[in-house]
Amino acid sequence: MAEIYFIASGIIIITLFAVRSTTVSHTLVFIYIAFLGWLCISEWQLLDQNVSGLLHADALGVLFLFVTLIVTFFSAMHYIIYAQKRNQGARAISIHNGSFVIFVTAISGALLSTHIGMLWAFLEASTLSGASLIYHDRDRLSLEATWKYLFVSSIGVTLGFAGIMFLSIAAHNTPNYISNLVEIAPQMNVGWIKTSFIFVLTGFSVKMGIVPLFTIDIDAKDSSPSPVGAMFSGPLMSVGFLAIYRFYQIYCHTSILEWMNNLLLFTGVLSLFLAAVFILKTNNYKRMLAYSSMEHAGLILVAFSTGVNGYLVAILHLILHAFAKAGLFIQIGQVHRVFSSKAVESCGGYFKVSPTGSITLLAGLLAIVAMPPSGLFMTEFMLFKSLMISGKWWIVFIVMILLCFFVYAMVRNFFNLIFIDNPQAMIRQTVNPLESVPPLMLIGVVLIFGVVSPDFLISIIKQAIQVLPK
Amino acid sequence: MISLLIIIFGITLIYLAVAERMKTYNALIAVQGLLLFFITYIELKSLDVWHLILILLETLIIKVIVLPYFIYRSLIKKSGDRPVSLVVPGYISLTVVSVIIFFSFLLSYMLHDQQIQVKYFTGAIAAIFTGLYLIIVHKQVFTHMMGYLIIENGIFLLSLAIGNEMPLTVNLAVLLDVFSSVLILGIFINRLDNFSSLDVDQLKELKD
Repeated sequence: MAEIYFIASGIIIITLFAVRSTTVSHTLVFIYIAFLGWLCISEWQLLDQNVSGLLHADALGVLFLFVTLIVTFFSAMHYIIYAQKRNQGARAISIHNGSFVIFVTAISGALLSTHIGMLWAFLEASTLSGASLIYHDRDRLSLEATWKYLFVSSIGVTLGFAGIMFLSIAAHNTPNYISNLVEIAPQMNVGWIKTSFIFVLTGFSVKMGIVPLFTIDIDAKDSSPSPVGAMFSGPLMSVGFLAIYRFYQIYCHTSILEWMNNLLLFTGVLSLFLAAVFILKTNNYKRMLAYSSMEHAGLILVAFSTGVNGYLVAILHLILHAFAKAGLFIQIGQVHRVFSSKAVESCGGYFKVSPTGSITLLAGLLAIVAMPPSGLFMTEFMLFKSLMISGKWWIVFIVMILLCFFVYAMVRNFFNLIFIDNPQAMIRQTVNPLESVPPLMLIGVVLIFGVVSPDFLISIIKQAIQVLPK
Repeated sequence: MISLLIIIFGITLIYLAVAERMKTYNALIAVQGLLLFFITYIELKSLDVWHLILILLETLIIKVIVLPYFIYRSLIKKSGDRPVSLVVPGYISLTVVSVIIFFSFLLSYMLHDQQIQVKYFTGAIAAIFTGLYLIIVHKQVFTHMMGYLIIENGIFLLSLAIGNEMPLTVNLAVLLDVFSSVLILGIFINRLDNFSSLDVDQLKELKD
């Protein structure tokens, strides 16, 4: 199944770079998304079957494939508006769409990989295609962001490769298939696997947007078009998490489980702390959203570090955050277009310009700061519960204080944007109210989730975490 | 024979610490590629034909011919082989790289792991840390890219040190990624050169 998908993607990518018709280019992207949808469904159906080979998704892979499918669909849809309103040339659109399809194919490939080396190759491919997406506007700032992203990300992913090498030393001559590695994990040398996990966490932090290599991720989300920011905050973050998770999945059957949990907790809290410091300082809406993504990535790690009580919470939080943040990025893209600025001091009175857009932003704010009925409220509540169960009261205290900073910064900036008239804010374009419907739908999913949680989703997450210690 | 090649590899690392011209960097990286080619050829003679062809393609064709030629054409020839400004005096870098190599030796001998080959492991660790050191102390994007290539060479040696075979598809994918990453990095360095300068200090517009 996966082979057909990759062949189809290859053909579509080549055609996309060759065509110079905007309509054909956009149509091809949606044909590609249809293939991705087909892949998701076929992998879902194959979930309980024993399939060998390099490319076959497990339950977590299938779950993230669906997240990728949904966010990709909305991102591609919004890019049509983005390109139209900015009068992008056919060539720029072809390059973007071609790189976009490579990027999504790389992400889906990483989600499907059953071999650690293959996972690495797809992660590197996502870096290269991601760089082309960031460089979309061809200006000085996007060039700076692209260079930094490309360079630091390449170094990060190379360090990740060193982590894979250390794993190979510990695994002796066992083939690097995840299933094989899980089996022999208890016999691995503790020193090597600890070194391997440090390298992997450092290297792939660039994909998840956490400490230590988070800065380029912020720059990338700021300088790229907003639909790309949505992809970076959703599917790419999921794939970064999955890359770290794969190693956790192998090493959790050894004596370093507790050590890994402590390392993840430390990284998570440090990410939260740094994101809190920077979000208070920033005066740019897109950077604010990027720091908020870093905050949620930190929360996901903290949840995951609590062990058996936190695995489900972490994965659920990741999925809901992907939808909420994608919706917000798309909507902030509209704000950027209206005021021709992302700076807090150059925007204001948005409610008068676009009531539907403002409602979407307010709904997104509610969802992202985890206020009821947001699904993120539920996951954060469960996170605190699992921290308390594991007796980490001081972490509860620190995280709660840090979360207050995020709520304050986000509410202050969003209220300034929506309700406060700003004489410096120049309205450059009017907007169609229907444009805000797709992001509102994404955010709506997160809000509804706080009230009704679908059983099939919970059961598939439970199936995914069955491989982790009970 | 392999020991001699690894020693020459170590000498290139020391030379890289004090190199001042773009051409020298490029030539040294090509020499490293050539050394890796000989090491792989001697080491992996027993491998099946496809693996051997692939690895030789990676070392001889890509590391020795294509990449240095591409870097020369797109970056060095255009800018007229500018001297690379050394932020840290040469003798300090020389000392640091020598210390890195010494500690890599020490580390490799202390590990006593049957899985790893000490010679390669020493070269690999020394190259990875020398690459990182050069990236930290230099302020030009050209030398940053050279640092990245040194780290790549180190990782290549590390995979030899471990001798764990990956499936052909995976090897091919890794090779393709490494090759395209360097090409894309080169293209963007070129763009940066057209825009402003290649000094990292100029790339400070993105901030909060």
